[in-house]
Amino acid sequence: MENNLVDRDFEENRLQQTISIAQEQLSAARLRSQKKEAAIISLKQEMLEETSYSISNLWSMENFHQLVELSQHANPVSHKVSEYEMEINKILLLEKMINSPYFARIDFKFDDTNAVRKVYIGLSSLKDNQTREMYVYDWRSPIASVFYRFGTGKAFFEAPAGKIKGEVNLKRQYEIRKGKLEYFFDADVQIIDEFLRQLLSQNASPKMKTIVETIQKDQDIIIRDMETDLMMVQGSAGSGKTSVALHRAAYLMYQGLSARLSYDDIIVVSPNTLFERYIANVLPELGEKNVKSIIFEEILRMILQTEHVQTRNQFFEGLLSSNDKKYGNLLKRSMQFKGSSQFVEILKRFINDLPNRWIEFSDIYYDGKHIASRQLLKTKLLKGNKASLLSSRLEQLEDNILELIHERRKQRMEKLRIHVLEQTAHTFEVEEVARMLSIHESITLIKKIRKFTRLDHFELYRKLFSNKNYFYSLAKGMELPNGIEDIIDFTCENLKKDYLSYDDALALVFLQLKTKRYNDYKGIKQVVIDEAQDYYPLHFEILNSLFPQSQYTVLGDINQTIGKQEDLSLYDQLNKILDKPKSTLVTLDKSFRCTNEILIYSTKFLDPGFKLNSFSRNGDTPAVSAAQNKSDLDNLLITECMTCKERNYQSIGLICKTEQDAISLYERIKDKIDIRLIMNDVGINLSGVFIIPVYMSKGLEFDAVLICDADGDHYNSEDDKKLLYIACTRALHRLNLFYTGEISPLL
Amino acid sequence: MIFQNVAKILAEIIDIDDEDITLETELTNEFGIKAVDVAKLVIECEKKFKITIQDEDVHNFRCVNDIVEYIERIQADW
Repeated sequence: MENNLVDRDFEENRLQQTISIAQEQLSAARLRSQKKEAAIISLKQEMLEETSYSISNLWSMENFHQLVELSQHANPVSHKVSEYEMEINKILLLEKMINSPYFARIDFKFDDTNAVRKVYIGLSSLKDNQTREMYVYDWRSPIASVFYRFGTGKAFFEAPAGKIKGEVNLKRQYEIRKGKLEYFFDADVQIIDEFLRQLLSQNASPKMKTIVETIQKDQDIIIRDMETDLMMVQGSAGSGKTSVALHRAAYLMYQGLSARLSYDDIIVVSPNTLFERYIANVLPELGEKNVKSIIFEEILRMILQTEHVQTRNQFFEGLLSSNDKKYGNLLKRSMQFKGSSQFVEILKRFINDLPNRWIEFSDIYYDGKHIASRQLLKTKLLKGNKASLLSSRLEQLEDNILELIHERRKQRMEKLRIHVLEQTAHTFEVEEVARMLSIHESITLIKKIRKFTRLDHFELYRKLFSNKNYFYSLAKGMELPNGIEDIIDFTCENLKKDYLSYDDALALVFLQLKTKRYNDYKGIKQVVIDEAQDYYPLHFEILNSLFPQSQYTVLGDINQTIGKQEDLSLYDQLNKILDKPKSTLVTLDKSFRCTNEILIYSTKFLDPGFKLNSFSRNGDTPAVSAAQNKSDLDNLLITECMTCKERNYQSIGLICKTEQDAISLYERIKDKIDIRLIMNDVGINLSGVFIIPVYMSKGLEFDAVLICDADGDHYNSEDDKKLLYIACTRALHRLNLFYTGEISPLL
Repeated sequence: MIFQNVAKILAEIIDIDDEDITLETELTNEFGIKAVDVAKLVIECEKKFKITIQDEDVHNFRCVNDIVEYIERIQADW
């Protein structure tokens, strides 16, 4: 690592020079924009004074020449306005550059001239207008691509003139914030993970460099792969899995930009809105546009067209905070069953059976004539093209019936006119009244027809669960779980409520997607899903229906599940469901984000035999502290927060098992310390002290973590072990656990 | 253009100023529009725009905008 003084001096000087140039250009740009603004104002003034026409007059032929004169003035104005906008953009860009002008450098030796050029790479380019020297190259420019595509050694790039060949002598990365060079390091591989970068800058040994580069290479394989249709990543806590997910999305966008795809082609499925904000903060780094990010619930609400859907967090809260063991167990089993491949199969069979058994056709009469019979309608539907969706076939049926009605309309109208004439003396109103009657009867008729041509998915779903024998008949050949009857009864009760349970909502969405066309996401080509272990087969079936043509990147950690247990077969399952031509499973098992001590402590909560691969930095050993009572506990927590602040930790997380617990703790200590309670939608920059329930903290990291309720009442089961694992691995540098009453048997 | 024409027709039927009609004007009793007025509106629109409005579609016409869009859709299909 050439972090020696000579290099340092050189780089510092270079940085200052670059910033001065940017500042010069910024002042000039500000001046120009002021002038342009003034110019626009005066132009507009001129236009007003010299062309005082009322706009509406301008569109007649006689005033055409006046219109032309007006446009002579209008054109310069709109021209000036767009110039002005360009200046503003330039100003914003320059301001960003002064903060952090570049992040990398390569030294490229051109084959044909043997000249070596130092190429500094940043978010946009910066040229010295006098010397014409390129101080910073835009990361998207051809020569900059060498940084991303090659290590040291032979390289090339595509320029308008052709392929330019050469050699990379140096690859250096910089951490520059607020115009200050914090650190830099040389690495063959681009190190994008901030932690890895810090590691390298702190520990310069060749061994560390090798490890870091290996980790980065492992990550790069995932991030840059464009061939695999289904990329699955099992990443243990602290392996930078989430960072990989984000960078992959950014990379795909970068690739998309070069292939002229729009950023609309990529979608990231986040576990919660906190995560989404996290993404929004990281990705704009890469450019002007954001990648589309969505939580699964949004998909549900959109397709069901209702807001009254239980969110997954609400489901977790219900599951984790329930005092009634039996009820909690029922919730869990219901979710597990409805999410399973078994249930998916039952739903598929149900859908196939709908035309046979659950669609009630009726005879249709019009103008006294029997124009469609139940039997024939049903036969027609059954005979129809099975490849097309049920709703489409029903629509076709409806159109057919309407055609028959329209053919007879004229005759019908005649009859109605005669009827009206007989009834009323007002002959001049006959047409209107007859028409009114026709409209009225047509409306009644179409409602009758739509009773069987439009599917009421909710009603159908309810019927499925109200007929136990039918339900069991659909499950023929499958082994249903114990207690299935309870689950069925439970579902029937839930369907009476004014909101949909999370698991029923999923099932309904599946029913809809399998019977009706849904086009909104047709163009999506790349899907990135994080925390895949929290999803069930049903989730993946839904995703497969929504994004059939996409390539997928699925990241997860089987050890960080909530309310269920998973093993590696999870990936086999989702591989089967998504059914892509080329799929691969990559493992990220080197943990480096948390300290060694925190990682070692966390493995207590995993199944024995789990190999931990940590070579991270050292830190404090996690400690467990007992409190006599609630107020003692509060004091301990507050003291610990103070300690953390003294140690300069930016983000401190107090983790509770449930939202209920989080709220009551917050109420108790909010007046004693500056603290924020994280509920669903809070503006996040994660700097400060926060209280958060475990299930909301997934994928997030805090400098220091306090687990506030590590007692036997809260944490005692197998599922709870996983929660502790999740909670502990949210800590980067410091972890402490606190409890009142009996210590948890799991500790 | 379609809206202006529809508004004119409707205004004449219920005897109000066509300036008082907007896209949001609802075709219900509250606005003094009776079922037979809707029928008249349908008949006149068919004449004016030279189209056929299917009777069963009329129950979708909640406000003036619905008719305007309906007519636009038919014309777009030509």
